[in-house]
Amino acid sequence: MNLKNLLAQLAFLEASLDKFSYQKLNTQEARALKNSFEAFRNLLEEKIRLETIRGADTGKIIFFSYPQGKRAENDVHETANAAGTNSVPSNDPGGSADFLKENGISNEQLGYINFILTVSGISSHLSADSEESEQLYQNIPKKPYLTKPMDKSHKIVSESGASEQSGTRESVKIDLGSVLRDCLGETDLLEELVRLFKQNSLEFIGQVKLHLQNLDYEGIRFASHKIKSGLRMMKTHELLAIAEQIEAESKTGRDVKHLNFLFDCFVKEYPGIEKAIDLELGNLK
Amino acid sequence: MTTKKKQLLLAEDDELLASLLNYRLEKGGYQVHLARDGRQVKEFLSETIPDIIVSDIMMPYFSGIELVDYVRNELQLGIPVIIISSAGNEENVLNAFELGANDFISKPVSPSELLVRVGRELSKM
Repeated sequence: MNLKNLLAQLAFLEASLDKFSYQKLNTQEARALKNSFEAFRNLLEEKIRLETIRGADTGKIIFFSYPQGKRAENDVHETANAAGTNSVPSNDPGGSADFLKENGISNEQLGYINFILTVSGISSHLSADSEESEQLYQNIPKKPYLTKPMDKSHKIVSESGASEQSGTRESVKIDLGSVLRDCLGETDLLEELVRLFKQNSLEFIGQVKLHLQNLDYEGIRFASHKIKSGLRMMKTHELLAIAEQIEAESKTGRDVKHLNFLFDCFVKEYPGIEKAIDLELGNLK
Repeated sequence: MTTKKKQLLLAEDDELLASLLNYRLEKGGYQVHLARDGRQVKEFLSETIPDIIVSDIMMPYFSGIELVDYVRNELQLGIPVIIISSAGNEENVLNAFELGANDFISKPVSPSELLVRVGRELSKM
């Protein structure tokens, strides 16, 4: 199979990717996508192996960095060693880029291929637990050639900054100075408000979880609308952005997987925010 | 000589906001009666006529709009009603005005601003 066929396969995968959303796929769809990736990967691995042998003969070293494709990596090493060349460095995109460029692959396409290989690694994890899948998904390099969002949930939460901040919760800072001013400097009242805020937030989490189980979109909308006021008061902009998205989704989109995703974001963000509020309260007292 | 405190009904189901507003309104010299939902509003109004009502527009059992309708058309009361509304609820605010609400304040509510608005409405009486 030549590179043109591989590119045709790539086009097919591109079409699949347009529909890809790790949150939205059911098991059957995920399996189909995974099979597509595996078929492509097998073809590509075969191609690379052949080209490696040919490249070894001509002094070229070919390597692809697979997130999952250790077999291909080993094959390359084995082939290269068998051919009497030096060991291939563990990551050498330059070498593969040169080779692919010679075969008419643009930088953009090369990036896309690396992206697909990354995703193919993730696709094999789709059946794993959601936390691992999510972590893998978030590790996908964000490439400029991806003009279409991979996933609505990811895009929206990225805009709010929530997903990025989930990894840097320690740096979240809450400023309760204006709330203390509204409390006329009464730290006891501020403490009481913080207590109510925590109580309301936990109630919100419990309510939404229940409403999600019952697919009660109105309940979700009402709960998220109500929590907004407290979130705004406590300057928890990250949680507020998520609550606003939950409210909007429960009103219009009503995509339960998207809602679950947003809800998970809220739950993951909350502990860091609570810690930041406690810290700020301690500073103000 | 002590002047009798003005009675204010605060209908707000958000405990956090209600606590803050209650504190500030009491500090501002009002006797505040808190109602957490529409049923408590009706219960209170069946026994007492406050000098002014401040109500959230979105409440369980009884919305702020229904409250305005209830006060103006069923109880036939002319007391001032201030509606608290979140952004994007303009249509509901317009409905409330049509039914006879006197003023509205948008969330996030500034307690100082609410005090000014309450004072202004009461001074018109």
